Amino acid sequence: MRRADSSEVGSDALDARVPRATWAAALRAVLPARRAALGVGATAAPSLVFIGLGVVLGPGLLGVVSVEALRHLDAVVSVALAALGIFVGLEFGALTRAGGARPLLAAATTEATITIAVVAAAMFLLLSRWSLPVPIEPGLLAGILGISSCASAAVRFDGPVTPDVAFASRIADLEDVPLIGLGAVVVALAAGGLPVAANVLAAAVVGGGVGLAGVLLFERAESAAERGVFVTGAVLLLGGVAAFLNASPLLSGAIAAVVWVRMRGAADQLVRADLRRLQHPLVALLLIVAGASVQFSLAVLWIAAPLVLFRLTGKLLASAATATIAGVAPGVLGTVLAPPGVVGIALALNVQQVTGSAEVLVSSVTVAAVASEVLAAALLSRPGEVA
Amino acid sequence: MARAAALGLIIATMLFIQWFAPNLPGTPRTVALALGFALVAASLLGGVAERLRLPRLSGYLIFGLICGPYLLNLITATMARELRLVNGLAIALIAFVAGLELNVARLRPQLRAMFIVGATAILGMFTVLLALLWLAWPWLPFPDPGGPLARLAAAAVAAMLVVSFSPTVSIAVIADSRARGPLTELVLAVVVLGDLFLILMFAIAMQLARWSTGGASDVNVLPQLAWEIGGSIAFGAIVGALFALYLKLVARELTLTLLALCALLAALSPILHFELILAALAAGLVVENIAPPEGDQLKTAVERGALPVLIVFFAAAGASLQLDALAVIGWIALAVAAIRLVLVRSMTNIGVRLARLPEMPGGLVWMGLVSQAGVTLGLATIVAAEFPGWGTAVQTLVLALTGLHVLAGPVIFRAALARAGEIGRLDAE
Repeated sequence: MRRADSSEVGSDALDARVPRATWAAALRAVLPARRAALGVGATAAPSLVFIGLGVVLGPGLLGVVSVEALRHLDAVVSVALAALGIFVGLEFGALTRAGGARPLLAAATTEATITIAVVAAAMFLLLSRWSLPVPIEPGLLAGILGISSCASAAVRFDGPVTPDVAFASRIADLEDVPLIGLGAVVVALAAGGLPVAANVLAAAVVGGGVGLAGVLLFERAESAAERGVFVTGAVLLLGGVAAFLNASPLLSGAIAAVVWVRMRGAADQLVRADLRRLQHPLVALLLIVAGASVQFSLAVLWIAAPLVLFRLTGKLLASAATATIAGVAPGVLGTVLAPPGVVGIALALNVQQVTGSAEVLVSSVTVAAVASEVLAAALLSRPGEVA
Repeated sequence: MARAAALGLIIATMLFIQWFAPNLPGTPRTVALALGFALVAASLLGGVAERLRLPRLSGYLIFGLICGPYLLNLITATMARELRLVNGLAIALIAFVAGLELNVARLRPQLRAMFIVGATAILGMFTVLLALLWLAWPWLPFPDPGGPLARLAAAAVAAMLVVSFSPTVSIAVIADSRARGPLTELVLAVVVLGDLFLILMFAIAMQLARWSTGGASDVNVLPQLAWEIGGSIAFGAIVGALFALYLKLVARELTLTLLALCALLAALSPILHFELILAALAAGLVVENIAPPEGDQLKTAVERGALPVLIVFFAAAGASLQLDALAVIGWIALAVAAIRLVLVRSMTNIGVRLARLPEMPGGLVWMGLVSQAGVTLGLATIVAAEFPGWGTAVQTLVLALTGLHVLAGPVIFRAALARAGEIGRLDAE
């Protein structure tokens, strides 16, 4: 299997890196934990900070982000999910265009499948035994928890990295692809109404249609302002259609982005340039909404605690298996893939939108993501040290 | 061809998803969908309008009309209501842009003339319409207000609504056409001063109507007006000063900051009972006249920020046009519109002669005063709420008139700007 070298560690839009000075000055004196756990330095997604901010601002504490405000933010969340899907699709499309994607995708899919299977099976056993008061059927809930667990935030490093680390970073990027695909299915199952196949197909068709429309429009805009209108309109359409159909905006966005990358022209570059300034605000918004949606309860604790352990176990097992197949150091793969990514939380938010009553799910996934981040930083060495 | 194909794809997408609509549980969420569809499709139709030498915003309006609830229903009534969420932001942005265009030093020599033109047009139109409406009232399909005095008051209110014009649409046409010149400045000043004047006269007419129908008079009307007008200007000036400071000291992310400023004005104005147009205008005036920005940063920020907001605003306006009002009161509305057109032209030309303005652009000023839109509709809603009988009938007439004028007004004004040779001169400077 071809291994990526350090030069191929690309800029994943989801690896929203916050400038050190911003966080370091605010947090260094307050929290003594390792820098990676605080989102400072090596860790890409400062989920702790924004989720914490959401919890503080949410209805449970200050109430600045009230229940009413969360309802109004529903449309914005759909659009943010679509944009997130676009970022994933852009990276995936670029990788497939560059060549050599199949082995990486196979490795990522293997890793994701094992993680999902371990987590979903373990959570299903527990949920069936405990009979917790959750509005989602245990099998479906276990599936959603499993799928959201496979998301990883790639670690970013200054300076050159070893080929194993570069490979692991690519796997972390590509894991979002099976997550989005399976996520669309569970969203359709949770939503009800339309048959699952119709729901998923509709989201995919709309993604393709808007993607094609974008190819025809973006490069033919008469001005930068008009191009901005077309890009914004396309993102709104992707999120809006998915919201209308109770489908997955992540899937619609990802498919549209793949169309932009694979079709002739510079549509993908134009979208990337226009959406670049929205990367950090969108991720921050999703995390703040997730934090504000957290409702602490016994059920959440009973789900989140084992979820953290099962996720870590699943990740380590999956990394070991994948590393053996790919010929990389298992420790490196496990360490790089341990920190959770934003897309898992995004999936939980999507399910909450379509069911209207999945607060336990969002709370559990969010709390588990925070705990996983801390655990990964506290227990696992930096890949540079391992290598 | 590519644009037409893209428009076809977008419309096909909308039709495709509506096919699923009957099987969806609960009430579908449509806010983002409405915004996305309006942005892309209306923008494309705006381009078509431009190619036909019409204002782009006519394309946005026609998009709303065709895709709205009365025709294709791709934008349902619910979606049309959701699109109107940006109304406050759009009005604030448009008025702010107008303020940026008004350079007091340049306008000072002509202020007296502008006042004469505006006052003559409004007072002249009002007087003639008042007389006509009072005389014709028994033959109109309007309930009897009860007594000659009440009829006079009702006719005064109705005349005021018919006279009112839309600064929003006129300013939007100027911004859309990138126009600059004597006609542009004259129309801008007249619509702004006219808006002030109309607020005052409307308040007086409503007081008269309350008094004549035996309703309780609002003794606080003068202090309220003083607060509404003076307070709006002061509030807007403060906001403008803060923005000018930001421009000087920070000058980053101007598009977002500008939109946030307009959103702030739109959110606070109803709470504080300020007139949003005046507040935003004052903010723009302060920025332009006290701390004018250097370079093209603000201009670029305005272009990027204003375009999507304008598209959605006018698409929503088109989708909200009440075509059934036209069906109910069509012939009368057409007759009133024709009379209004004759009056606006003749009275404005009289004002131009009294003010001793040059023939060009003086003779074209009236073409910027034809449009009617949100301001008029808002006032009509107030009348209908307070006087359910004849007020509702007047509101129906105004709805029909607004539908006609919002479609025709931008076309007529753009033609005037073209004749004056002022289109695109903003970019040339």
